[in-house]
Amino acid sequence: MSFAIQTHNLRRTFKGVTAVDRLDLAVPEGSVFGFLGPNGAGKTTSIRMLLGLIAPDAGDIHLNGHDLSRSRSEALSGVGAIVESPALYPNLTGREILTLAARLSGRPVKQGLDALEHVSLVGAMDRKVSGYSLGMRQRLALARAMMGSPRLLILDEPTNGLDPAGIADMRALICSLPKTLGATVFLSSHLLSEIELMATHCALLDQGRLVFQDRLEKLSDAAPARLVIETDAPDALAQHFARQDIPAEREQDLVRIPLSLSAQERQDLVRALVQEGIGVSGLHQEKPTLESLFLGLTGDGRGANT
Amino acid sequence: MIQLLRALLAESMKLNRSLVLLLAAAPPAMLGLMILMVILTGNSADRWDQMALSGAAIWAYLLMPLTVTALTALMAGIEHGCSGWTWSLAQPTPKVTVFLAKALVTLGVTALITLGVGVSILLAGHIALLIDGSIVMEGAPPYAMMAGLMAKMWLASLLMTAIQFTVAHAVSNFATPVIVGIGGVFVSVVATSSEYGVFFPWLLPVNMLASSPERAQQALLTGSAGGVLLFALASIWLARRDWR
Repeated sequence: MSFAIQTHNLRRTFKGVTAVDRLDLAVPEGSVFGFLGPNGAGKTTSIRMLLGLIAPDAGDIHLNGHDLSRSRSEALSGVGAIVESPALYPNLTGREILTLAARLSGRPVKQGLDALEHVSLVGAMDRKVSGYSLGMRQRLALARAMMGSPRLLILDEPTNGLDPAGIADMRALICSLPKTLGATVFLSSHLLSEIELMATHCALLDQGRLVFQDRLEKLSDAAPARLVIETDAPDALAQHFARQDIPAEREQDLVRIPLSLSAQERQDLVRALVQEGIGVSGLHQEKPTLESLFLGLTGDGRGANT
Repeated sequence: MIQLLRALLAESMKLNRSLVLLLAAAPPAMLGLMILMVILTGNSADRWDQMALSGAAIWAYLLMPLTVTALTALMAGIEHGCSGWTWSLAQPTPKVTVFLAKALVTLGVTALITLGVGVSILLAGHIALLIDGSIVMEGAPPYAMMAGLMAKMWLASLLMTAIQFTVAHAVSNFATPVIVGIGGVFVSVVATSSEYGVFFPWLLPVNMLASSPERAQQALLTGSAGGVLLFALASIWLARRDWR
């Protein structure tokens, strides 16, 4: 398997505080790779190291097979990125932003205009960026990152600050990139739900250390989904599961059990409970939260946002 | 070389509709207007060369250091203000090339402003003569002298510009380079009377007006060579430091 990003033993400390510790990333080519972790886990520091904005204390980075420290230009030439904020010059128009990027990289200006079309900003290209909404800025930054069809896109929290419609737009755009550009997308977020909707692979970072890295579906093994049952007899329901050696958690009139059931199995369960005289007023499958995943992977869920 | 040219083009584009252009127009306009008023009110020297030297002195002593301060702070602010570093320094272009291009654009803008100031001083004299026919200015307009003097002042200002450039780019807030610039002007008031004042970066351009040719030569060499060296070192240092 070939990798768009490979890091080995990457480490960085700031004034004695370790921000990233022995990070070994392996991002498969063609994947949408979710880089997940709570705020302050070291995601942005890692991304800044990937882009050569800060130097690692130790370790090495390969982008599209090129060593970043030895062949910086080659390594970064196939990379488009957005780090934290869109980083657009507010005095320029959308067209000028992309022309500037084209001039700097020696690409034809037309590539920039094509990218604008891809993010549906052609109508606003002659307006100053200072008049753009945050969603438009994010799309423009994405268009700039996509210029020249890079093999790797590194996007740091690309949906941050967007409204629900903007998030949906951005999500659809990002999901289309592997097909339209043939690019690998490396995407950071502190929201598990965000990554679940977009990624094929993911890595979890906690206090600068990697605690998980694999295909997304393997993540659910770390914290299986739970079934939540709303009942008028929580004690009787808990005893029912105890008799079957199923650990149950009670919270007022809710009982949670670590099971993932199909629709048919849920119907059967409700029927059995009603026959036992246990009333069921609600039942749904609860997805694992980032907190529960951290709990499953590290034994404690400190700092995780859900 | 091609990368430097591309970076120069990109850095120049960033100035479109920015405050830098407004700032560039202000010193020549302000100084020209001031000299025009002084001539029309009868408070100016009645010789072309003396009038030109007075204008050049005001420029070199006060207006030039303040202009360089504001200009470098504004130009660095273009990147600091929108976290532009995360894009411009994550490009395949070598980081040192990006900073060299920024330095060259800064020097280009200061050169244009200095040229504008020289033109506006002489233009003020011509306009005053047109407005009031009773005004008499002895001698001929000193075009060649002003061109040489302005060029020397610009060269001597390179060290001061390099210091301001480095501070403005290294520190992300606007206040620090402004404080350094105002501090430099303030200290230069005292340093004028010092034996070693010739070496104070903010006074180097004023020394182009010194009566002693050796002093002027020494200041020109210190300012230009020191400036080129500091710009090169600053570009290397800025390229190597972390951009968080």
